[in-house]
Amino acid sequence: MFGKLVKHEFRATARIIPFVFLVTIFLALVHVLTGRLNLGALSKISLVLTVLMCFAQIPITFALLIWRYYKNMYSNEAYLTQTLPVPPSQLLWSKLLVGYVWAAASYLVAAAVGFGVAAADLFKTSAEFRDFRGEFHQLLTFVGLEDHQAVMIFILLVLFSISIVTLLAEAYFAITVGSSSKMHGLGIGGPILVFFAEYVVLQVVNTAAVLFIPLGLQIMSKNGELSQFKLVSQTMFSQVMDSLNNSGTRNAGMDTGIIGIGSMILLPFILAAMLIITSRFIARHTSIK
Amino acid sequence: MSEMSIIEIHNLDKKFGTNTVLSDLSLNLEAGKIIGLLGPNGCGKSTLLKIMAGLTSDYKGAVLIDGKNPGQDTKAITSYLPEMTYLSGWMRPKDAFDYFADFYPDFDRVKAQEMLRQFRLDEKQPIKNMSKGMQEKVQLILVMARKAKIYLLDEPMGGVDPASRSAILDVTLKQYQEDSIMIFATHLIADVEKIFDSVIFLGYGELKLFEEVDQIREKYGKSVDELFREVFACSVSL
Repeated sequence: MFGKLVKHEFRATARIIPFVFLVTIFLALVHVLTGRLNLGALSKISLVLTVLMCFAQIPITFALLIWRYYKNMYSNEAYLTQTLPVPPSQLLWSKLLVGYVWAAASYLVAAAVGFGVAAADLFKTSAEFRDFRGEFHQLLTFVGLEDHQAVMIFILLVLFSISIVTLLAEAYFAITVGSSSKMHGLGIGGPILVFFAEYVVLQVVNTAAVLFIPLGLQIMSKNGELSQFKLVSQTMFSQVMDSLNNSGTRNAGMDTGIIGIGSMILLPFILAAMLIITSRFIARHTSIK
Repeated sequence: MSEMSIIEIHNLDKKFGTNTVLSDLSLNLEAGKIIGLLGPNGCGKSTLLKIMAGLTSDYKGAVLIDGKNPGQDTKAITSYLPEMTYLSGWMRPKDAFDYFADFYPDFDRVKAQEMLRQFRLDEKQPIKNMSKGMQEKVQLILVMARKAKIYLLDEPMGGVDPASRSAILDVTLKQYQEDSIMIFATHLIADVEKIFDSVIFLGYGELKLFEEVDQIREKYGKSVDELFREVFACSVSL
């Protein structure tokens, strides 16, 4: 049944979301074409629109996915969705999976279009592109990641995926809890209210995790220039206190700071908790108006 | 589970905020009957059907559908028609048939297409381009093309013209399985009372009456429609 849910979710969302991407791609093509034809004003206008659309298509995609979840799970379409003989968790996971794919596609299309337009405008010759690659490798070498590109790409992809799923899970949680019978009187205001409450709580928890979980990125700089960074098992809070007490490490022009990254450890747990609560709420507190 | 009872409801309470919609409602419903669920607006008919369909899960009391709490198993044997349009605007009857065929093994596509022809509906016309009455017919087709144990119909004729009503009743009766139960909530009592075996009068969350139609006629010497008007009479001064 899960496969069928995913299939129908794709079918329903594919009627809108790809058109958002097509608008961005179309604008980029207009820009490249008008640039080649030396139509200055048109080229500039289409460039501005392309850049705006590259940024806008990501929130637009998220908004469409969130609206789809609300309409399909708690508005008129819920009379069909919520009477399907499937476990509530499968309803949630199918929407999360499809949402993830579209949201990731949105970032990728924005990045590809942005890079494509930049390449068309900036790299007129292959030598210019080689120069750019060379500078990019210099940057990687400087931050010490030249030899760990595969690991870096993997970590970035994992973080990127978690951030997309977290955003969707937060929205789905707020809609599910905010649509329970106790909040019916608030209408669409219920999910919005829960979302803001959830946002505040998560900010507080994340800030506490950044400050108090003993995992941080120690950054050392010498004479104002970044010289080294490494993972340390020290809290950001202790480092801040040390600095305030003037007992921080400071010698021979060397500055040391710690950025707490404890929230990254906490994030998967928060995500799991949100998904479990959302799934249970669908099963036990559903109340379609 | 009581013998023969396919739906058992014990001391059911449901509130929306401070508003009590169903209060201490108990019912035992047997298979093989068409039951009219009647009552004034806002008396809890739709809420009761939603609870049985598994759309409302936060209530007090016990509801057993074929011996089980409403959930995945009971949804597989329940065919529910809500009052409103639940199909996406882009969907065509053909897409809706694909959807139902995927999720309900008891959905009979051939039967659905036959009913569609009977109602003179186009398989390829998007729902958003249909009138409310046409949309209701498509949804009724979807519900009645299933070989379900339980049919829950919430105002299935609310938006259709009088001529179509008898066609809908014919379709409903033709597709109804003898060993299943059909609960039919409606305000159009005079039009449909001839198909009811029993009726439930629900008055603002409370059970007012649950009797067989033949007994009503015998006991009160009135039709269901007449008795309904008497029980739920409102005085209106013009």
